[in-house]
Amino acid sequence: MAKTTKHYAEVRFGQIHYRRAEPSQPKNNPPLMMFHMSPNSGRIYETFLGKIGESRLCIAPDTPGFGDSSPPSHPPTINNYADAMGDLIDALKLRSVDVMGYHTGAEICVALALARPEQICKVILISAPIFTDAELHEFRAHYTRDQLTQDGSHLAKKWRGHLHWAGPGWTMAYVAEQFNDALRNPSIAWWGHNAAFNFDMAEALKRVNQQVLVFNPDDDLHTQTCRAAPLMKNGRIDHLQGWGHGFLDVHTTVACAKVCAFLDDGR
Amino acid sequence: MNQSVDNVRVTKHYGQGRFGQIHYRRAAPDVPSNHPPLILFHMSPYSGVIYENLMADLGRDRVVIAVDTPGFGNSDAPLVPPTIQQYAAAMGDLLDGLKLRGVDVMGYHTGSKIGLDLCLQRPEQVRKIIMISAAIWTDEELIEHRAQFAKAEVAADGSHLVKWWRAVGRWSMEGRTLEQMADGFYARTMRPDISWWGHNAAFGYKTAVALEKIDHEILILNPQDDLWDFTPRAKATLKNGHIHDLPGWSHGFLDVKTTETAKLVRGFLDAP
Repeated sequence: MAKTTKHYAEVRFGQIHYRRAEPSQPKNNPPLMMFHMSPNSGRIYETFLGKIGESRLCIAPDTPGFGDSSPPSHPPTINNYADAMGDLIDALKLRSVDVMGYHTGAEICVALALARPEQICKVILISAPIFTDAELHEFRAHYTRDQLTQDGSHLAKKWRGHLHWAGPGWTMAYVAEQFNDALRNPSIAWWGHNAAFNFDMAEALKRVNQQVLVFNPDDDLHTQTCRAAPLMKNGRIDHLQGWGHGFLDVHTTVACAKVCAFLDDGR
Repeated sequence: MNQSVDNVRVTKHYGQGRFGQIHYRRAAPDVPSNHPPLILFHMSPYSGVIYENLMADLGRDRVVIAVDTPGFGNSDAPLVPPTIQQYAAAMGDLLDGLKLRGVDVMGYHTGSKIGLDLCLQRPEQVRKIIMISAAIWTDEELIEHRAQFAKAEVAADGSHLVKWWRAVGRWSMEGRTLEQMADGFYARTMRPDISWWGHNAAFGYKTAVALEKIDHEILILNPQDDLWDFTPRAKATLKNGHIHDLPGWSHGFLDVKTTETAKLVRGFLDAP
């Protein structure tokens, strides 16, 4: 297992916190940047980093306003998030990189691939949601700012919502660890979803020239991700039947093999 | 955060200690200060996040560093439940890594015991000590406390979170908002499998014995919280210090009474 360490760097919104894993002996593979879903943090990649970090330098940042990264001063767009990730790539003096993103993080990948076409090599998306207007209306109403209560009932409600999407293999300790990130910055934790729902993923995906692999687990964005297939110029969808949230921890070895096979193909 | 124009920025960093990475917050004035750096240790479970507002104020005239105790916040955990002496030794590692010489220390509940033991381990390096509570328990009280602060059970229905939230509310002082409670609550709920280690270490530490050995100047702040009844007992063994009662103050005072707390801290640390 590669050792994972945690660090900070400076980007346009302040400090950005990231996890880093790398092989004990340097490899020739390009570094892999990994962006998380909302409202989590780079913690979702912790187990996976230990495995995939054996093959390449991996960087999993906390999106600005999540985990331990400083928040922007107002609700950002996916492009704003991608710009901040670009700052991190520059701060780390990385040249060519591969990117991988989960839900909101997948949109950040696409925006970054468009913003830096020469620098971003291959793209892995864990879900590539194409929403209808009706779905957007429904999702926006669901993912709003938390209303705090004196009696703590907002916490039980949030916990149950989290547990609803629990995948096979989740223990209570695992839920508790991941859930913790959803409690951070409660006044702005909705900004990630807000940015995701305002991003035109269909239009953006059509313009991506890089090779794209979409993982489509059986989660809350499965249906929406199926719609991405005809939009991609140079991509394919790998449907992960029976896999749900947490698959990076539950199916670490298989997931890592799939990621490496795609990234290393043709190199 | 309090938005005073004079307040300084609080940044976050990692250093190294014997248990792995140690996460800390730092605030410092624009121009170097003659005051010794002030090192802050938090209560259990929580993290250095509880000091953010106070640091933005105190950082105007000195370097202030608030450390996440190993196993809390973002600091790596020891492999087995540690003692207060081991926590303090890890804090010493961080001081060495940061190349700090003379320092003042301030600790909150469990953190106050860490500060005390750091002084015992490094009497030449620690100058003055501020303790937020200095609980001395009887054997009977310790049995009760150990049962109350045992390993947390995570419930499928989320009732553990409701229980913790209500406990935070129960001991919060008047004026503490729900938003202030919510901002730090994540640090209270991290790593429930090992978050009892801090209390476990605190209950195993002989505060009265440590106080008897220390000649350094000590200020004990005694807010009217869950340790209000146990702190006055420290007076019997305090050699060079005094207890300052804070009636009506309780948890959350670092955010509700930030300016007043900074004044108390400066008054003690900067007195000749």
